Amino acid sequence: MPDDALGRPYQVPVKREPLLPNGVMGMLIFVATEVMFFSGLISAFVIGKSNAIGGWPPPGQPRLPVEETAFNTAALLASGVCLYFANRAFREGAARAKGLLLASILLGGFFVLFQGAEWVALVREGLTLTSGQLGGFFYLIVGTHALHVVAGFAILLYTYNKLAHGDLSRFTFWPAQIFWYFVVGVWPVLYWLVYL
Amino acid sequence: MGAVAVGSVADLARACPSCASPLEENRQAFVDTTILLTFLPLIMIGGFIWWLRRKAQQLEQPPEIAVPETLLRDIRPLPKER
Repeated sequence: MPDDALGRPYQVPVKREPLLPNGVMGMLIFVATEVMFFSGLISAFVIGKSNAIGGWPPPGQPRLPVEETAFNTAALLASGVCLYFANRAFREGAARAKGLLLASILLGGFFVLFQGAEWVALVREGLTLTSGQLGGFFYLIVGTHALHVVAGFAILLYTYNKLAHGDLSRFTFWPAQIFWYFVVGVWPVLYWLVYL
Repeated sequence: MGAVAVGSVADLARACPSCASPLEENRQAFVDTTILLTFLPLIMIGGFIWWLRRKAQQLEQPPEIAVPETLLRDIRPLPKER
């Protein structure tokens, strides 16, 4: 083995890959706090719902659009599936990653717009934040989720911009995916609890 | 004085409105959500540590070295010493 200038045996520095990239670690901790936050909201809703006198949904309140939202739920789930395949294509270096990521973003945007339209219709029917327990819980829980979808939408747009310019690393793409999978994964639970 | 205050003034605190609810469904919902909020963080932290340990063990495995076919062809058993 060759020696260095001081006569010590030369050692090849080995750079080990980190166990978990910082961005992924940070996002996982953030998502864990978000899971607890949504669990708190869900718990408050479940207790409030079980305490309602006269059944749930409370009488005299507008009905929530179950079928339309089921369609919207499918769009959000499809967005998650597109992101999964975009990641696979990205790892293989395939050009279709861009198209799949764009499809995921567009489906996420569709979900937000559809929900906005749904909210306008509900407000017109008289369901507001202060109209009762149903309105209060509905806008708090679904609104908080919608805020997360908007944030995730912005993160995916940023990711797409990096991918389009050819400087997207997997350490940037991975945290973005974790956040979007959380947003997609928590929605069916909220739909089942709030709408059904 | 403290003992007098505790003995004469203090009463059972009803801090949990659901615990004394006459509705069985409400009491059950309180128990269910308490279980959820107690165990969910423990499951998440435990699952994360388990996953990290597994990943660390995988990284510690020595990498397999690819041996060319031409070298493998030349390998013969050693002759027995007499």
